[in-house]
Amino acid sequence: MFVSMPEYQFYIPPEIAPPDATYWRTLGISTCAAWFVLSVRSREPDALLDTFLLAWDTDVVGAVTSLDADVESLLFVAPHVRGRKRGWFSRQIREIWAATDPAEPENPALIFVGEDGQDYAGIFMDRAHGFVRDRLVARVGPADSVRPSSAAT
Amino acid sequence: MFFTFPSFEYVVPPELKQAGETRWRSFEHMGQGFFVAVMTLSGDPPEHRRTLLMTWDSDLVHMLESPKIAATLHSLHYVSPCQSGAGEPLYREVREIRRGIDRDAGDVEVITFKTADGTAFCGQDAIPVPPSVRQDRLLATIGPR
Repeated sequence: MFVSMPEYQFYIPPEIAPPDATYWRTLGISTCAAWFVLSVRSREPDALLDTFLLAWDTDVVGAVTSLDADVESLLFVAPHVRGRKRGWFSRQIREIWAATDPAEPENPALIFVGEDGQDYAGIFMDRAHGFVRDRLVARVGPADSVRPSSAAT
Repeated sequence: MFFTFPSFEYVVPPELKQAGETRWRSFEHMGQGFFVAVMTLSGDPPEHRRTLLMTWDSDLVHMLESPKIAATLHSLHYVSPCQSGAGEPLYREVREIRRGIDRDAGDVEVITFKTADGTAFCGQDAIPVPPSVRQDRLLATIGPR
């Protein structure tokens, strides 16, 4: 979850800002969990890219499936939660799959396929071992630069 | 700069957050920024990891020079597609942050960054470091993860 603090609010005159928008120079991260940077390009002519920070993987899926836009880039930033490393690591994402985790088949799951070919899932973006791919949700990047990963199992 | 709208607020009971803070599920981001994880010497527990997303290099330096910061654990520099010139976002790990001065600009203070791929840039707009910049005090070194 992203956290704003009053001392970092940046004043933008209402005349040049979208209604009800608030602007910030700095945000905090309240939880030690993965978050996402999503860039999309509207399908309107001469559209610029819009970049979103998203705290939940389900919001990523909501955005890519509901926006009338092409997904140009998706990055996750996740904490090191095992071993001696501290801090965060990041991966560019190439595909998103709806999936089933055999350990919790009653809960819908998501797999994020990294540019390194690895499957990641969960709030810490752990390696997704044993997950079953059910349905391709989205491919990321210009169509001619994205090769599909291995077929659904 | 980050911006958001009331519909993206995530309401948390006041007793579970610090005074004044507001929690959000989503922001839109313009321009460039730094995703920084630091180990602080304040708070509860006294030494804990804190992660911030910052758009101004001056805010970043102000934080790094605080006596409450014990270590910088991770710093990722982000450049939006519009600014990167490549049509897609640019992400690069920052390995070193220094203060310096630009002798051709009246000794104005600049902040310089060196990334894992060997690139050096400075300032709010992440321009290449000009030869006139003299790099002085080392503010942070960040090892590979």
